[in-house]
Amino acid sequence: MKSVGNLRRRRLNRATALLTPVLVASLCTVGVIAPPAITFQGARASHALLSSEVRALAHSVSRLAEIEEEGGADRILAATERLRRLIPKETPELELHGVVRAAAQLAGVRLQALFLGDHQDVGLPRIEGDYVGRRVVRISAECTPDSFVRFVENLRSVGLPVSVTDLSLARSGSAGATFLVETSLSLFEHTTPPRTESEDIEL
Amino acid sequence: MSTPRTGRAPGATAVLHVAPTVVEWLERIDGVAHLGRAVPAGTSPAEIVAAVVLARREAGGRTKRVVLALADALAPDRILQLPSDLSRKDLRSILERKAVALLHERISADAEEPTALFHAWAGGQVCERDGDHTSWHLVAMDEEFLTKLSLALRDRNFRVERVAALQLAPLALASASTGNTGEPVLYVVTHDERMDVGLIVEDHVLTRRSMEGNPATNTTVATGLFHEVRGIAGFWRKQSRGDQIRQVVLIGLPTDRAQLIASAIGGVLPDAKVSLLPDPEAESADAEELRGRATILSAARTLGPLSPNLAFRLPPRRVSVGLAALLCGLLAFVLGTRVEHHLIAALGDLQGDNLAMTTQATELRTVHTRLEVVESDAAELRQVLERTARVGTFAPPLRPLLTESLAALPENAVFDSIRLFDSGDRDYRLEVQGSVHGSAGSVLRGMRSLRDYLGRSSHLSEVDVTLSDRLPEDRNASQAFLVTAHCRETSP
Repeated sequence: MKSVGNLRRRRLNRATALLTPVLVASLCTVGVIAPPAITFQGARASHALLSSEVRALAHSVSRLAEIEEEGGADRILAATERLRRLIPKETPELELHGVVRAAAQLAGVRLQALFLGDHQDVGLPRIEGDYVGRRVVRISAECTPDSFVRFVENLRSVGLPVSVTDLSLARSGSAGATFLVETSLSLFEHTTPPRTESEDIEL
Repeated sequence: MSTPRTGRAPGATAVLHVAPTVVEWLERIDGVAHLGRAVPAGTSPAEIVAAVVLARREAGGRTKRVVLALADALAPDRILQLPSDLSRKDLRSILERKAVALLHERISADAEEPTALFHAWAGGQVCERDGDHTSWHLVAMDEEFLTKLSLALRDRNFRVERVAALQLAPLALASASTGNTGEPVLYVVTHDERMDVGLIVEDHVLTRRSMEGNPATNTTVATGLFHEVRGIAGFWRKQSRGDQIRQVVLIGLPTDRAQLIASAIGGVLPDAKVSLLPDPEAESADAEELRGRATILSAARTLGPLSPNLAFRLPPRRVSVGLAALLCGLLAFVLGTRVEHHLIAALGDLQGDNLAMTTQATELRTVHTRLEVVESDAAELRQVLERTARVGTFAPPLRPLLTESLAALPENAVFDSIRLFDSGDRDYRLEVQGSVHGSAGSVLRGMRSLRDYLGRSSHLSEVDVTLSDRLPEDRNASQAFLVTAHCRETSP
């Protein structure tokens, strides 16, 4: 049998009416609890963040302790300074002339010509604005191979780190004991870095 | 108010008949029908409920659970023919409008348009007319009035189990008394001063008529009744193409006159079986004058297709809602307080921990900053060390090259020149030129020794010794040689 009516749908459902205060009460409870709960959540987040930071930083303590055991920061600084001093500051040309001549004289090398070139960039790293360049020293002289070696060692002994990058020894006579020497020495010094193109443009 | 749609109300339920002019309370106490009547002081729900209290008191009622039987004036019904192809939405809309119109016509013609509660049903093959119309039985009620009446009853602790339209209830009873066979049943329901006559076919009222008066006390009305019965029988013969009415049920007639009227109707419809409700021959503890009325009112307890439950939903009691709200509020307060207490305690602990960790983190940050400085210093040391080491790699080692080369020369050899030069991409090349004298064997031995000696040097590689092609004529004359080698970069 078909039937149609509105007896069952007009009124507010009793369950709905009774559930409304439950819902309102629940919302009130949530409203009361929410502020401290939000603060608590914030505090938990801060706690997690601080815990993580403390754990990460605790590693720093042990690492620093290891370094202190190995001699500490002062030793590092001292070693750095000593290493820096192995490469001299730029020697004035006049003084360099004197030093080279003295080293040659002491080694028994008779200098015939001495040419001091400009500083060249050989790609050594700049550290804290500290630049090391190479100055090429060209020498013509007459000496024995031993005296040439002594000459180079004399230069090193006065604190000039030189390298022989080009050398030619030729016997000066058919039976002579001396040789004509043509050589290029590389002298490494702390100096002012060459200007870059961008710096030139700025100027 | 939510109840089953069919069946009978529980035994301990009274029947409350409400009409604008009278209220009746029927309750069976110890198997005996007790009927109380009261006339309301007015038509307002409060006045009607006051009359209900009086009627119940008069009947000596004990229960407060009732079947609310609404009089025809409060729940009018009508049979409508509507197109069969209407959508449910359109059907609902039309029936609602018809219900409002019915209320407006029967109850409150002068009042504003009422809001209608309605229930309509259709069923049975005879309801279909030519397949394009359906017969709907519509019952309408004034929502505002009934809601107020129901709330007023509830406020007096009456519990309405069901709602029925009293003019339809005996029809269900008549149909049920003939075994719900679906055969045509002619019914006559006699109220105090009114009489309903109609034909039920397959649980649907096919035709009906109401007449003023009581056939048991008024012979004119009785004559009218016979005339009406004859008309309905003719209508059915025509409708069913010759079929006869075989069931007649007379409800509510006084027992002393019932048999007489039944015999008269039997004369009009000789093929019909005439049943009487109540059965005059059945034993009953009820008072004789109450039996007819009690049967009609009790019919409201019977649910069926012809007498549906018209109960509708009421808003919940304010007390219930208030109690629920109070309980929930209390629970929420207790719960909220406890949770908040725990939260605040936990928050205090957490904030204490956070403070301690903040202090610790500050100290550790200082240490970390110191470590960063130290590590920066160490990194600088590494860079300086690396740079210093690289300074020594720009040239081959001088002393070993010269001393090794010269020391390796055999006794019968002298060198004339030594060249050390960068042959490109810092690949240093050593060339030693000289001459060697002696026999061919000693020359070869000497040169081989020279090559082997230099070949073992850690500073040289690809050592090669070549002699000039021209052989000396004098066996003691010297022969030129050339030593070539590559030099490895090492510290000076």
